[in-house]
Amino acid sequence: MPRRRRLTPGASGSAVALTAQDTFLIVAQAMKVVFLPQKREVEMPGGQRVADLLRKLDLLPGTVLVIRGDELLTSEDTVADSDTIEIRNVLSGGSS
Amino acid sequence: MHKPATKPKCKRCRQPAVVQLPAHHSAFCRDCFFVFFERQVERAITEERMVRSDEEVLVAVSGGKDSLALWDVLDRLGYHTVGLHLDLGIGAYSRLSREKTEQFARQRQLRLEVVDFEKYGHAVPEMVRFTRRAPCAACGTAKRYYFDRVAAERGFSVVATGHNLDDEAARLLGNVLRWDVDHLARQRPVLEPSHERFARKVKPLFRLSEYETAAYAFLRRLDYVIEECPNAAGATQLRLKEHWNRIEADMPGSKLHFVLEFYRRAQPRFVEAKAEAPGTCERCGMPAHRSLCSFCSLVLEVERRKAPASAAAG
Repeated sequence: MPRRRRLTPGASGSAVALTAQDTFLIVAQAMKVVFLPQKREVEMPGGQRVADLLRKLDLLPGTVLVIRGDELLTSEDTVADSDTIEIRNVLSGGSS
Repeated sequence: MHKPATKPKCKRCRQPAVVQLPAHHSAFCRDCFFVFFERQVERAITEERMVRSDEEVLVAVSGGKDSLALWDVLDRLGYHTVGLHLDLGIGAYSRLSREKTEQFARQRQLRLEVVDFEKYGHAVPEMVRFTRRAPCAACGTAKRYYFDRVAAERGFSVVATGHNLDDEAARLLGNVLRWDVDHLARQRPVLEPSHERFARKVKPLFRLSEYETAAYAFLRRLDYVIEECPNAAGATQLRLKEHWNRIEADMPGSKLHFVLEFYRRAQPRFVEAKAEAPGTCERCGMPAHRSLCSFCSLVLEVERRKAPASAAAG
Protein backbone atom coordinates (compact mmCIF):
# COMPACT_ATOMS: atom_id res chain seq x y z
CA MET A 1 0.00 0.00 0.00
CA PRO A 2 1.36 3.47 -0.81
CA ARG A 3 1.88 5.62 2.25
CA ARG A 4 0.17 8.97 2.25
CA ARG A 5 2.06 11.83 3.89
CA ARG A 6 1.21 15.41 4.46
CA LEU A 7 3.93 17.98 3.78
CA THR A 8 3.38 21.57 4.70
CA PRO A 9 5.54 24.56 3.79
CA GLY A 10 8.08 25.01 6.54
CA ALA A 11 8.65 21.25 6.86
CA SER A 12 11.17 21.41 4.04
CA GLY A 13 14.12 21.47 6.39
CA SER A 14 13.28 18.13 8.01
CA ALA A 15 14.75 14.97 6.52
CA VAL A 16 12.14 12.72 4.89
CA ALA A 17 13.08 9.30 3.64
CA LEU A 18 11.18 8.69 0.42
CA THR A 19 10.36 5.41 -1.16
CA ALA A 20 8.89 4.64 -4.56
CA GLN A 21 5.61 3.85 -2.81
CA ASP A 22 5.15 7.30 -1.30
CA THR A 23 2.54 9.67 -2.66
CA PHE A 24 2.27 13.16 -1.25
CA LEU A 25 -0.54 15.50 -0.60
CA ILE A 26 1.13 18.91 -0.63
CA VAL A 27 -0.86 21.40 1.38
CA ALA A 28 0.16 24.87 0.31
CA GLN A 29 -1.32 27.33 2.75
CA ALA A 30 -1.66 30.67 1.01
CA MET A 31 -2.40 34.22 2.10
CA LYS A 32 -5.78 35.57 1.10
CA VAL A 33 -5.74 39.01 -0.54
CA VAL A 34 -9.03 40.85 -0.78
CA PHE A 35 -9.36 43.90 -3.02
CA LEU A 36 -11.85 46.63 -2.18
CA PRO A 37 -14.03 48.10 -3.53
CA GLN A 38 -13.85 45.43 -6.27
CA LYS A 39 -14.53 42.62 -3.74
CA ARG A 40 -12.12 40.40 -5.66
CA GLU A 41 -10.04 37.76 -3.89
CA VAL A 42 -6.77 36.10 -4.83
CA GLU A 43 -4.35 33.81 -3.04
CA MET A 44 -0.70 34.75 -2.84
CA PRO A 45 2.27 33.28 -1.01
CA GLY A 46 3.05 34.95 2.32
CA GLY A 47 6.51 35.49 3.79
CA GLN A 48 7.14 38.66 1.85
CA ARG A 49 7.27 42.39 2.46
CA VAL A 50 4.24 44.52 1.61
CA ALA A 51 6.42 46.44 -0.87
CA ASP A 52 7.16 43.19 -2.74
CA LEU A 53 3.52 42.10 -2.62
CA LEU A 54 2.42 45.42 -4.15
CA ARG A 55 5.09 45.20 -6.82
CA LYS A 56 3.85 41.73 -7.79
CA LEU A 57 0.31 43.05 -7.95
CA ASP A 58 1.50 46.01 -10.05
CA LEU A 59 0.20 48.50 -7.51
CA LEU A 60 1.86 51.74 -6.42
CA PRO A 61 2.23 52.16 -2.62
CA GLY A 62 0.47 55.55 -2.40
CA THR A 63 -2.64 54.34 -4.18
CA VAL A 64 -3.88 51.71 -1.72
CA LEU A 65 -4.18 51.05 1.99
CA VAL A 66 -2.81 47.66 2.99
CA ILE A 67 -4.80 46.41 5.96
CA ARG A 68 -4.49 43.34 8.20
CA GLY A 69 -7.42 43.15 10.61
CA ASP A 70 -7.56 46.57 12.23
CA GLU A 71 -3.90 47.27 11.51
CA LEU A 72 -2.53 49.49 8.74
CA LEU A 73 0.65 48.03 7.21
CA THR A 74 3.66 49.90 5.86
CA SER A 75 5.78 48.82 2.88
CA GLU A 76 8.30 47.28 5.27
CA ASP A 77 5.85 45.04 7.12
CA THR A 78 5.94 41.33 6.33
CA VAL A 79 2.81 39.38 5.55
CA ALA A 80 2.39 35.70 6.38
CA ASP A 81 0.66 32.72 4.79
CA SER A 82 -1.95 32.73 7.53
CA ASP A 83 -2.90 36.41 6.92
CA THR A 84 -5.94 37.85 5.24
CA ILE A 85 -4.86 41.12 3.69
CA GLU A 86 -7.23 43.80 2.49
CA ILE A 87 -6.02 46.07 -0.29
CA ARG A 88 -8.24 49.12 -0.33
CA ASN A 89 -8.11 51.55 -3.23
CA VAL A 90 -7.79 55.20 -2.15
CA LEU A 91 -8.37 56.85 -5.54
CA SER A 92 -11.66 58.56 -6.01
CA GLY A 93 -12.91 61.15 -8.37
CA GLY A 94 -15.06 62.21 -11.22
CA SER A 95 -16.88 65.40 -10.42
CA SER A 96 -14.97 68.62 -9.97
CA MET B 1 15.76 35.06 0.78
CA HIS B 2 14.87 38.68 1.30
CA LYS B 3 16.58 40.78 3.93
CA PRO B 4 14.73 41.03 7.26
CA ALA B 5 12.41 44.03 7.04
CA THR B 6 13.15 47.02 9.24
CA LYS B 7 9.97 48.46 10.61
CA PRO B 8 10.02 52.24 10.11
CA LYS B 9 9.90 54.35 13.25
CA CYS B 10 7.68 57.30 13.97
CA LYS B 11 9.49 60.56 13.25
CA ARG B 12 8.09 62.20 16.38
CA CYS B 13 8.07 59.51 19.10
CA ARG B 14 10.23 56.67 17.65
CA GLN B 15 7.48 54.09 18.18
CA PRO B 16 6.77 51.70 15.26
CA ALA B 17 5.17 53.67 12.42
CA VAL B 18 1.94 52.72 10.68
CA VAL B 19 1.98 55.38 7.98
CA GLN B 20 4.93 56.13 5.68
CA LEU B 21 4.92 59.46 3.87
CA PRO B 22 7.83 59.60 1.41
CA ALA B 23 6.70 63.05 0.21
CA HIS B 24 7.41 64.40 3.71
CA HIS B 25 10.44 62.12 4.38
CA SER B 26 8.42 60.94 7.36
CA ALA B 27 6.68 58.04 9.00
CA PHE B 28 4.26 58.26 11.90
CA CYS B 29 2.59 56.09 14.50
CA ARG B 30 -1.18 56.36 14.73
CA ASP B 31 -1.35 59.16 17.32
CA CYS B 32 1.44 61.24 15.81
CA PHE B 33 -0.16 60.87 12.37
CA PHE B 34 -3.32 62.45 13.82
CA VAL B 35 -1.18 65.36 15.05
CA PHE B 36 0.44 65.70 11.60
CA PHE B 37 -2.96 65.58 9.87
CA GLU B 38 -4.59 68.15 12.14
CA ARG B 39 -1.60 70.47 11.79
CA GLN B 40 -1.80 70.31 7.99
CA VAL B 41 -5.48 71.26 8.15
CA GLU B 42 -4.88 74.07 10.67
CA ARG B 43 -2.03 75.38 8.55
CA ALA B 44 -4.18 75.40 5.42
CA ILE B 45 -7.00 77.23 7.20
CA THR B 46 -4.75 79.78 8.91
CA GLU B 47 -2.34 80.56 6.06
CA GLU B 48 -5.10 80.85 3.48
CA ARG B 49 -7.49 82.65 5.87
CA MET B 50 -10.23 80.16 5.11
CA VAL B 51 -12.47 80.54 8.13
CA ARG B 52 -12.97 83.36 10.65
CA SER B 53 -13.22 82.32 14.29
CA ASP B 54 -16.88 83.38 14.55
CA GLU B 55 -18.03 81.64 11.35
CA GLU B 56 -20.19 78.55 11.14
CA VAL B 57 -18.91 76.27 8.38
CA LEU B 58 -21.20 74.40 6.00
CA VAL B 59 -19.31 71.17 5.24
CA ALA B 60 -20.18 69.35 2.01
CA VAL B 61 -20.29 65.68 3.03
CA SER B 62 -20.70 62.91 0.46
CA GLY B 63 -20.07 60.01 2.84
CA GLY B 64 -16.69 59.25 1.25
CA LYS B 65 -13.34 59.24 3.05
CA ASP B 66 -12.35 62.84 2.26
CA SER B 67 -15.52 64.60 3.32
CA LEU B 68 -16.02 62.52 6.46
CA ALA B 69 -12.35 63.03 7.39
CA LEU B 70 -12.87 66.76 6.83
CA TRP B 71 -15.98 66.94 8.98
CA ASP B 72 -14.28 64.86 11.68
CA VAL B 73 -11.14 66.98 11.80
CA LEU B 74 -12.96 70.33 11.70
CA ASP B 75 -15.15 69.19 14.57
CA ARG B 76 -12.13 68.01 16.56
CA LEU B 77 -10.36 71.32 15.94
CA GLY B 78 -13.33 73.11 17.46
CA TYR B 79 -14.94 74.67 14.37
CA HIS B 80 -18.70 75.10 14.40
CA THR B 81 -19.91 72.94 11.54
CA VAL B 82 -23.12 71.86 9.86
CA GLY B 83 -23.05 69.06 7.28
CA LEU B 84 -24.68 69.25 3.87
CA HIS B 85 -25.35 65.98 2.07
CA LEU B 86 -26.65 65.87 -1.49
CA ASP B 87 -28.51 62.64 -2.19
CA LEU B 88 -27.80 62.36 -5.91
CA GLY B 89 -30.28 59.54 -6.54
CA ILE B 90 -27.67 57.18 -8.02
CA GLY B 91 -29.28 53.93 -6.83
CA ALA B 92 -27.63 51.82 -4.15
CA TYR B 93 -24.50 54.01 -4.19
CA SER B 94 -26.47 57.10 -3.11
CA ARG B 95 -28.50 55.18 -0.53
CA LEU B 96 -25.32 53.88 1.10
CA SER B 97 -23.64 57.31 0.96
CA ARG B 98 -26.58 58.96 2.67
CA GLU B 99 -26.80 56.23 5.30
CA LYS B 100 -23.10 56.59 6.22
CA THR B 101 -23.36 60.39 6.38
CA GLU B 102 -26.49 60.34 8.54
CA GLN B 103 -24.92 57.76 10.82
CA PHE B 104 -21.81 59.92 11.30
CA ALA B 105 -23.93 62.99 12.09
CA ARG B 106 -26.05 61.03 14.58
CA GLN B 107 -23.04 59.56 16.37
CA ARG B 108 -21.36 62.97 16.70
CA GLN B 109 -24.62 64.81 17.35
CA LEU B 110 -23.86 67.19 14.49
CA ARG B 111 -26.48 68.99 12.43
CA LEU B 112 -26.95 67.68 8.91
CA GLU B 113 -28.92 69.16 6.02
CA VAL B 114 -29.93 66.72 3.26
CA VAL B 115 -31.05 67.66 -0.25
CA ASP B 116 -32.78 64.77 -1.99
CA PHE B 117 -32.39 65.18 -5.77
CA GLU B 118 -35.01 62.54 -6.52
CA LYS B 119 -37.60 64.44 -4.50
CA TYR B 120 -36.98 67.51 -6.66
CA GLY B 121 -37.23 65.42 -9.84
CA HIS B 122 -33.63 65.76 -10.93
CA ALA B 123 -31.73 62.69 -9.83
CA VAL B 124 -28.35 62.49 -11.60
CA PRO B 125 -29.28 59.44 -13.77
CA GLU B 126 -32.26 61.44 -15.13
CA MET B 127 -30.10 64.46 -15.86
CA VAL B 128 -27.70 62.24 -17.77
CA ARG B 129 -30.46 60.33 -19.58
CA PHE B 130 -32.30 63.39 -20.82
CA THR B 131 -29.35 65.63 -21.67
CA ARG B 132 -26.13 65.18 -23.57
CA ARG B 133 -24.01 66.06 -20.53
CA ALA B 134 -21.37 63.73 -19.15
CA PRO B 135 -22.45 62.38 -15.74
CA CYS B 136 -19.66 64.16 -13.84
CA ALA B 137 -20.40 67.47 -15.60
CA ALA B 138 -24.13 67.37 -14.77
CA CYS B 139 -23.43 66.22 -11.23
CA GLY B 140 -20.81 68.95 -10.73
CA THR B 141 -23.21 71.67 -11.90
CA ALA B 142 -25.93 70.43 -9.54
CA LYS B 143 -23.54 70.12 -6.59
CA ARG B 144 -22.09 73.60 -6.99
CA TYR B 145 -25.60 75.02 -7.28
CA TYR B 146 -26.87 73.40 -4.09
CA PHE B 147 -23.75 74.31 -2.12
CA ASP B 148 -24.49 77.95 -2.98
CA ARG B 149 -28.23 77.74 -2.59
CA VAL B 150 -28.25 76.01 0.80
CA ALA B 151 -25.53 78.37 2.05
CA ALA B 152 -27.56 81.39 0.88
CA GLU B 153 -30.87 80.17 2.30
CA ARG B 154 -29.40 79.15 5.67
CA GLY B 155 -27.07 82.12 6.00
CA PHE B 156 -23.65 80.41 5.77
CA SER B 157 -20.77 82.56 4.55
CA VAL B 158 -18.33 79.66 4.05
CA VAL B 159 -18.62 76.21 2.46
CA ALA B 160 -15.84 73.65 3.00
CA THR B 161 -15.31 70.78 0.57
CA GLY B 162 -13.12 67.68 0.92
CA HIS B 163 -10.89 68.33 -2.11
CA ASN B 164 -7.48 66.87 -1.36
CA LEU B 165 -3.99 67.31 -2.81
CA ASP B 166 -4.57 64.64 -5.47
CA ASP B 167 -7.77 66.37 -6.60
CA GLU B 168 -5.93 69.67 -6.88
CA ALA B 169 -2.91 68.14 -8.64
CA ALA B 170 -5.12 66.30 -11.16
CA ARG B 171 -7.16 69.42 -11.84
CA LEU B 172 -4.05 71.55 -12.20
CA LEU B 173 -2.43 69.06 -14.57
CA GLY B 174 -5.63 68.96 -16.64
CA ASN B 175 -5.74 72.76 -16.79
CA VAL B 176 -2.07 72.98 -17.76
CA LEU B 177 -2.39 70.30 -20.44
CA ARG B 178 -5.07 72.46 -22.06
CA TRP B 179 -3.48 75.77 -21.02
CA ASP B 180 -6.89 76.68 -19.74
CA VAL B 181 -5.92 80.09 -18.40
CA ASP B 182 -9.44 80.95 -17.21
CA HIS B 183 -9.57 77.89 -14.99
CA LEU B 184 -5.95 78.38 -13.88
CA ALA B 185 -6.91 81.87 -12.75
CA ARG B 186 -9.72 80.43 -10.63
CA GLN B 187 -7.90 77.42 -9.17
CA ARG B 188 -7.20 78.39 -5.58
CA PRO B 189 -7.68 76.80 -2.15
CA VAL B 190 -10.05 79.67 -1.29
CA LEU B 191 -12.58 81.08 -3.73
CA GLU B 192 -13.94 84.41 -2.65
CA PRO B 193 -17.60 84.96 -3.56
CA SER B 194 -18.35 86.93 -6.74
CA HIS B 195 -21.80 87.89 -5.43
CA GLU B 196 -23.23 88.68 -2.02
CA ARG B 197 -25.50 85.62 -2.19
CA PHE B 198 -22.55 83.30 -2.80
CA ALA B 199 -20.46 81.82 -0.01
CA ARG B 200 -16.67 81.56 0.17
CA LYS B 201 -15.52 78.06 -0.93
CA VAL B 202 -12.59 76.58 0.95
CA LYS B 203 -10.58 73.36 0.65
CA PRO B 204 -8.96 72.68 4.04
CA LEU B 205 -7.54 69.29 2.91
CA PHE B 206 -5.59 70.65 -0.06
CA ARG B 207 -2.23 69.93 1.60
CA LEU B 208 -3.14 66.27 2.29
CA SER B 209 -2.90 63.45 -0.23
CA GLU B 210 -5.63 60.96 -0.95
CA TYR B 211 -3.56 58.27 0.78
CA GLU B 212 -3.31 60.48 3.88
CA THR B 213 -7.06 61.16 4.05
CA ALA B 214 -7.78 57.45 3.53
CA ALA B 215 -5.28 56.48 6.25
CA TYR B 216 -6.80 59.09 8.58
CA ALA B 217 -10.34 57.83 7.93
CA PHE B 218 -9.23 54.23 8.51
CA LEU B 219 -7.25 54.95 11.68
CA ARG B 220 -10.08 57.08 13.10
CA ARG B 221 -12.45 54.19 12.30
CA LEU B 222 -14.67 56.41 10.19
CA ASP B 223 -17.30 54.28 8.48
CA TYR B 224 -17.11 55.71 4.97
CA VAL B 225 -18.30 54.57 1.54
CA ILE B 226 -15.46 52.59 0.00
CA GLU B 227 -17.33 52.03 -3.26
CA GLU B 228 -16.61 54.46 -6.06
CA CYS B 229 -19.41 56.32 -7.80
CA PRO B 230 -20.54 54.04 -10.69
CA ASN B 231 -20.34 57.04 -13.04
CA ALA B 232 -16.71 57.83 -12.21
CA ALA B 233 -15.13 54.88 -14.07
CA GLY B 234 -12.91 56.23 -16.82
CA ALA B 235 -13.40 59.84 -15.68
CA THR B 236 -10.63 62.17 -16.84
CA GLN B 237 -9.78 63.12 -13.28
CA LEU B 238 -9.12 59.50 -12.34
CA ARG B 239 -6.85 59.02 -15.34
CA LEU B 240 -4.90 62.15 -14.46
CA LYS B 241 -4.52 60.86 -10.91
CA GLU B 242 -3.11 57.59 -12.22
CA HIS B 243 -0.49 59.48 -14.25
CA TRP B 244 0.37 61.57 -11.21
CA ASN B 245 0.82 58.50 -9.03
CA ARG B 246 3.44 57.11 -11.38
CA ILE B 247 5.37 60.40 -11.23
CA GLU B 248 4.97 60.53 -7.45
CA ALA B 249 6.26 56.96 -6.99
CA ASP B 250 9.35 57.90 -9.01
CA MET B 251 9.83 61.35 -7.46
CA PRO B 252 8.12 61.57 -4.06
CA GLY B 253 6.93 65.06 -3.17
CA SER B 254 6.34 66.17 -6.78
CA LYS B 255 2.59 66.44 -6.36
CA LEU B 256 2.82 68.58 -3.23
CA HIS B 257 5.52 70.79 -4.75
CA PHE B 258 3.60 71.23 -8.01
CA VAL B 259 0.42 72.35 -6.26
CA LEU B 260 1.94 74.47 -3.48
CA GLU B 261 4.34 76.28 -5.81
CA PHE B 262 1.54 76.86 -8.30
CA TYR B 263 -0.48 78.59 -5.59
CA ARG B 264 2.53 80.54 -4.30
CA ARG B 265 4.27 81.58 -7.51
CA ALA B 266 2.32 80.84 -10.67
CA GLN B 267 -1.34 81.26 -9.85
CA PRO B 268 -1.18 85.00 -9.09
CA ARG B 269 0.16 85.53 -12.64
CA PHE B 270 -3.06 84.24 -14.14
CA VAL B 271 -5.53 87.07 -14.13
CA GLU B 272 -9.19 86.26 -14.01
CA ALA B 273 -11.11 87.73 -16.95
CA LYS B 274 -13.27 90.58 -15.74
CA ALA B 275 -16.80 89.26 -15.76
CA GLU B 276 -19.83 91.47 -15.49
CA ALA B 277 -21.55 91.34 -12.13
CA PRO B 278 -24.06 88.48 -12.21
CA GLY B 279 -27.77 89.21 -12.51
CA THR B 280 -30.54 87.04 -11.10
CA CYS B 281 -31.81 83.71 -12.42
CA GLU B 282 -35.43 84.12 -13.58
CA ARG B 283 -36.34 80.70 -12.27
CA CYS B 284 -34.68 80.34 -8.89
CA GLY B 285 -33.46 83.81 -7.93
CA MET B 286 -29.83 82.77 -7.48
CA PRO B 287 -27.08 84.85 -9.14
CA ALA B 288 -26.69 84.11 -12.86
CA HIS B 289 -24.77 85.50 -15.82
CA ARG B 290 -27.64 84.75 -18.22
CA SER B 291 -31.41 84.81 -17.77
CA LEU B 292 -31.13 81.35 -16.21
CA CYS B 293 -28.37 79.99 -14.00
CA SER B 294 -26.53 76.95 -15.36
CA PHE B 295 -28.38 74.58 -13.02
CA CYS B 296 -31.85 75.84 -14.01
CA SER B 297 -30.84 75.56 -17.69
CA LEU B 298 -29.92 71.95 -17.05
CA VAL B 299 -33.15 71.20 -15.19
CA LEU B 300 -35.26 72.84 -17.91
CA GLU B 301 -33.45 70.81 -20.54
CA VAL B 302 -34.30 67.64 -18.58
CA GLU B 303 -37.94 68.67 -18.18
CA ARG B 304 -38.34 69.53 -21.88
CA ARG B 305 -36.95 66.21 -23.04
CA LYS B 306 -38.57 64.17 -20.31
CA ALA B 307 -42.13 65.29 -21.15
CA PRO B 308 -42.29 63.81 -24.70
CA ALA B 309 -40.52 60.65 -23.48
CA SER B 310 -43.10 60.20 -20.69
CA ALA B 311 -46.00 60.87 -23.10
CA ALA B 312 -44.62 58.28 -25.55
CA ALA B 313 -44.19 55.73 -22.76
CA GLY B 314 -47.71 56.42 -21.39
